[in-house]
Amino acid sequence: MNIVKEETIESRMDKVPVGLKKSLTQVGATVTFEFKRNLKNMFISFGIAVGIYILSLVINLIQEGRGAESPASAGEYLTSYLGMIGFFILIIAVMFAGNIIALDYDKHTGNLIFPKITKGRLFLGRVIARYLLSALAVLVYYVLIGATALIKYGDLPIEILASLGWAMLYTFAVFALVAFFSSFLKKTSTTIVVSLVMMLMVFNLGTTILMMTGVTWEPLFILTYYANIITYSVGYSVAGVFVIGLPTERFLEGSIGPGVGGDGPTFMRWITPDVTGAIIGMIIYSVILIGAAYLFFRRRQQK
Amino acid sequence: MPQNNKEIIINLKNLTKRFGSFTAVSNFNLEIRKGEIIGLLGPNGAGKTTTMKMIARLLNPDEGEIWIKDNGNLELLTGKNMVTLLDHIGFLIENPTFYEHMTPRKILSYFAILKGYPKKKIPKRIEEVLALVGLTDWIDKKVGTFSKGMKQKLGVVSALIHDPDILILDEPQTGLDPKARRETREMFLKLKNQGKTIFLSSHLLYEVSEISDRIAIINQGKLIAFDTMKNLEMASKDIKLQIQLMELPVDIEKKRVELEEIILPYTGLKLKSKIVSFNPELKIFEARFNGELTNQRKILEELTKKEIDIVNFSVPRANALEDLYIQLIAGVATEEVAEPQAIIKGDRGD
Repeated sequence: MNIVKEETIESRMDKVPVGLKKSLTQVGATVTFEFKRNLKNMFISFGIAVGIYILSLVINLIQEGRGAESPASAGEYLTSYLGMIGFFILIIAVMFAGNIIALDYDKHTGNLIFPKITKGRLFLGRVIARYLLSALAVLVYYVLIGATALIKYGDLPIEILASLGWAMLYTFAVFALVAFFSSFLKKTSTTIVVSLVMMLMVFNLGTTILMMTGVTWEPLFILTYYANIITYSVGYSVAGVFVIGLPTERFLEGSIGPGVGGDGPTFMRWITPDVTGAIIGMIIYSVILIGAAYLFFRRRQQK
Repeated sequence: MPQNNKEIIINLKNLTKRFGSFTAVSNFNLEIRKGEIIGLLGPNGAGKTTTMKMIARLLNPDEGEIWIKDNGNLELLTGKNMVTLLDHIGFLIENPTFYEHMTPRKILSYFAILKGYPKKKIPKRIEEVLALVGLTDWIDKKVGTFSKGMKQKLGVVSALIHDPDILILDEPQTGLDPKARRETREMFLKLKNQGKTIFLSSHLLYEVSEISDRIAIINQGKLIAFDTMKNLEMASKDIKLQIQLMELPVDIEKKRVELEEIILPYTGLKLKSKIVSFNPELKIFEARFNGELTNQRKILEELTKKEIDIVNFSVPRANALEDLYIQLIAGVATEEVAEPQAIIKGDRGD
């Protein structure tokens, strides 16, 4: 049991980073640590990306095997892989943001972390690292489907990059929502369940209610609505013809009743937000949720 | 050097913490001086962990203040200055839970960087502190494979990693085997000799009594005793003296009566009977007395004079503390026990 005292506290503290340098050092160290800590999750997320890709590929192959007409263009082919992108992003966000705060209180890991670092710096470091890992998983999926389309059609529409950009933005917005729940819910498992219920049921229910009540507002307050732009930014089909890029008509009108265009009540279904609405909407969503998560985290006390 | 001449580096003033209608800590006052080891004793739920969490700002006190020495002055701990004031304190709060997939090297390296330890020296420092608790061979093993005791040791070194001046350790010896407890005791004493201040909580009376300069006893959130071990023993006024004979007598009761007759005049107690008892587990006789060294010496002289064949004659410190602890916790204030308030106020030094 030898404790070697090599230098005085004063001499050591002279070399200790202070102020902004200290903040950056701590955030940087947290980012690195979080990468290492989430390494296993990263590989699982890659596995999920490959799994969903294979599932979509198999569905496409079965349809082609049953005589269905093959998509005429790479863009149309890509959209068949983007049907599940919203769900995939949700799974990834839950995986990386579900325990971002709740774990420290659930498993008491926070007792070791605090007060070594302020909650603000810790949260910032974690958000950066985990979002980058989430984005990496999304990127892996795009690389897979892009490569498949390239092999099959020999070219790729540039719109896939726009779609990737929207997917990245949407990933952050969903990540922020899950982090928000993690900031005040007691357990990681509760955070995951609440996030899934919110995204898969509550938002969809909201959309349905709006549609059925004939309300004409664009549902920019419904987070899942923004997922549509990821697919529609590649292109859309009109009367069997695939058109590259976002649709000019952003909503459909119809009515409920016997036959098409029946006498029943009319409804309005919004297809996709426009570029400005999507950027502003997702940024507002992300900023509010991440900000609220930080404030809850800051006020939260260890029981 | 008398205790009261040393500088105060942490001062807890009227600390109070409530959870709803339950008051976990109530008007808690404590002064911690540089270079001393203070043991905080109390039963489960007494408020030990809550007190330590308030110092670490994991919990905000509802009332009261925490003052911590920084640059020669005691500064009031607030949310704004907590990073600076707590920088030179190492904490271990509650049973440590680590990230299971990480190794001690990665975790300690992260903590050392957070605390501003010079980067180049971190690898060596990690090896040093892990060697302190015998975890060198586990430096690159995942924490998930560790036993509870090993995690506890890792918790202690995680508080030490940045070489802090002050250590605040909540139940640091829980889950450790006797050998490891002994090693940590020795480690704490060595750290103290290096000038570090240690504030540790425990329910293990022996561990605390062996190393602490002063002991604080907390119950139901209130500080009920705070003094040096010696003064607490004196305050107990009812110390057990262990007497082991060369051979166990055939008639134990007869020997007990014989010992009682010899010892009775020198106990310093008002009791006139039931002074001596036999402990069948340890196979020794135990005599109650007031803890005064003069009485202890007189008892030994009388026993030797009467040719009682003694092989061991001692006052286990933990026993004395245990008696006082139980008396205070149970709220039993017999005429032989000093008032608890007097124990807190009395700063009699060594």
